[in-house]
Order: sequence, then structure tokens, then C-alpha cells
Amino acid sequence: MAEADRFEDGSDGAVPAGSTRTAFVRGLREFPVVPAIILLSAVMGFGALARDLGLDLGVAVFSTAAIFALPGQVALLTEQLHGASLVATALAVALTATRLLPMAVVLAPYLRGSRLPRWMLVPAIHFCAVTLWVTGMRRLPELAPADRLPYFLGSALPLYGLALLTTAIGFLIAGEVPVLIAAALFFLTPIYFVLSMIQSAMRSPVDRLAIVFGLGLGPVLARLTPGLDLLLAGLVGGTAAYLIGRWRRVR
Amino acid sequence: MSETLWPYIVILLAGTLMTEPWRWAGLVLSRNLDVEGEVFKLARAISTAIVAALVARLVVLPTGALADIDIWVRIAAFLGGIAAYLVSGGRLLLGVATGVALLLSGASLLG
Repeated sequence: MAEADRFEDGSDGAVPAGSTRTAFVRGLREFPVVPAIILLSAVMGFGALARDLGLDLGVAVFSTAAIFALPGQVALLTEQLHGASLVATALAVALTATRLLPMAVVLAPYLRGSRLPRWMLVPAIHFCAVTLWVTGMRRLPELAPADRLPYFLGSALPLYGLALLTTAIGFLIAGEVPVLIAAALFFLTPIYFVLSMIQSAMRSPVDRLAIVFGLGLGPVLARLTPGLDLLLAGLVGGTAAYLIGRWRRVR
Repeated sequence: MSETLWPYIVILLAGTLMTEPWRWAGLVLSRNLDVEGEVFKLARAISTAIVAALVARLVVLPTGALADIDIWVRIAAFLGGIAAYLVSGGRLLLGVATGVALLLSGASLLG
């Protein structure tokens, strides 16, 4: 955990901004534009998908607001569509969200040490999802500890607001846009997810193997065991990847 | 009333309640949990495989407009996007753009 070690060492000599507000404004100014465009396009695709599956606009926006993790949102929607029970849906969502635990563990140390009240960490960690995690892990270590949380919120709050807005836009333009454009929007979600996963699996052979197994098992199990396919693909593919990684290390 | 409220309840129960505790747990454990530990590696591998399975399902068995595009075009565009990402040394936007461009040109060519 090299990043956290760097945090323990301090802030690489960064000079704190004058105030919490200055740090917040800096986060706002250095808004991660490119990652945001990809995420928001995928979120737009989610809005369109939600309409395709017959949901209300309010439900689609509420899903983005209350979950703010696209894989879980898509899993919930498609599990319900594929006729999974509430329990199976919840389990699938919970398992897609397990990845948030290690992500939050690594991100949280960078959110401590500001002058903001401690309870602010709870709403702040809600924004812990792929995009802000990747950009946060890249930028926060370079800042003084006091500036990190306000800087993070300066980028996270506008992204959150834009995500709610783009969910609604995606919902509203579904059916209005040419079929090819709609197809491209739906396609953004899987391609963006898989590339983000490959990115965060750069240093983990086990995770790379888990990606390959998951990709292979997903469609097969979707036909063999609809409703339980995500759970099974995760448990079987993930455990196999882990065991193979362990076996390799032992040898 | 219950008909209009039910989707919101499903999102809260099967969505928020299944998602947010992982983030809170990460917050609580962030001081003294061994992220290099074995349990952690297993959990990460399982969650990675689940998202990968979800991704594959979205490409191979899509709903909506994507279903109208030939399956081989979808798979080729997906793999082409990954290849572009890897060849370019990890440029996310390039990988995404390549995938979308392949999807659109493949769909246009094959009608």
C-alpha cells in the first residue's frame, strides 16, 4: 500500500492552501474533465436503459443519487428485469459493491486530516466510485492533508450533480435519438467498466484473471442459471482466479 | 401508492443498503486493515469477476438498442477497445473511443 505509506510520511512537502474554501475551489477548478465525460456518457446510457426497461424518470435519477455506483445500478435493473427475486438482486448488488470496500479503505486515509468536521467523511465516502477513486488516488497525495477533503468535495459535488442531470437527460433522449447513437450510449457502460477494471488490476495478476473468468462465465451462466448468474460468476470465477494466483505464488 | 413507491423501496433495500455499508466499512477499517491480506485478495477477485460478468452480459445479451447490432460486431468492438487501451499504454479515452468507433462502423457496414 505505497499510497498510504506516502500519506503517513506527510504530504510530500505540499504547502496547505490558505483555507478550506481555497482548497474546495481548487478541486472545482481542477475538475477531472475527461474521466467525467466518459462516466457521464455511461450514466446517460443508464438513464436511457432505465427508460427502455420501463422505469419512471424519478426512479432512474433516484437510483443514481442513492447508489452512485453504476455496476450496482445496472445489476439491480437487469436482475429485476431478468426475473430475479429481491434477495437475489440484493445479493448481486452487494457483491458488485464489495469492490467498494477495498477502494474506500485505500481512499479514506486521504480524506482525513482536514479542518472539516469528522462526520463529513460519511457523505464524502458516498462518492467513492470508480471515477473519483481513480482521480482522487492520483491527485490527493500531492496535496497537504488539510486540503484533501475540501479538494475532493470540490470535484465530487459537481460530478454528483452532473450525474443526476445526465441520468435525466439520458432518460429523456432515449427514443428520441437515432438507434445507432442509443446503441453507442449503451455500449459505453461495458467498455468503460472493463477498461477501468483493467486499469485498477494493473498490478494484480489475480484481478486480471478474475476479469477474464468473469467475462467468460457471465454470458454462459446467464443462459444456464438466469437470476443467479452474476453471483455464481463472481464466486466461481473470483475464487478460481484467487486460488490460481495463490498456487502460482506458492510454487 | 405502493405501486409508485415500490421501485424506490427496491432501490433503497437492494441498492443503497447493499452498497453504502461497504463504503462505511472501508471508512471504519481504513486505519488498521491489511489490504494486502488474503481475505481481501479473495474479496477483490470475487467482486472483479462479478463486474466482469456483468460487463460481458451487457455486451453479449444486451437489452434495448444495442441488441439490434450483430453480436460479432459488439464483441469485436469490445475486444478492439480493450486492445486499443492496452496498445496505447492505458489511455482510457482512446480505448473507449476506439470501441465506440468500431461498433458504429461495424453496424453501418453490416446494416
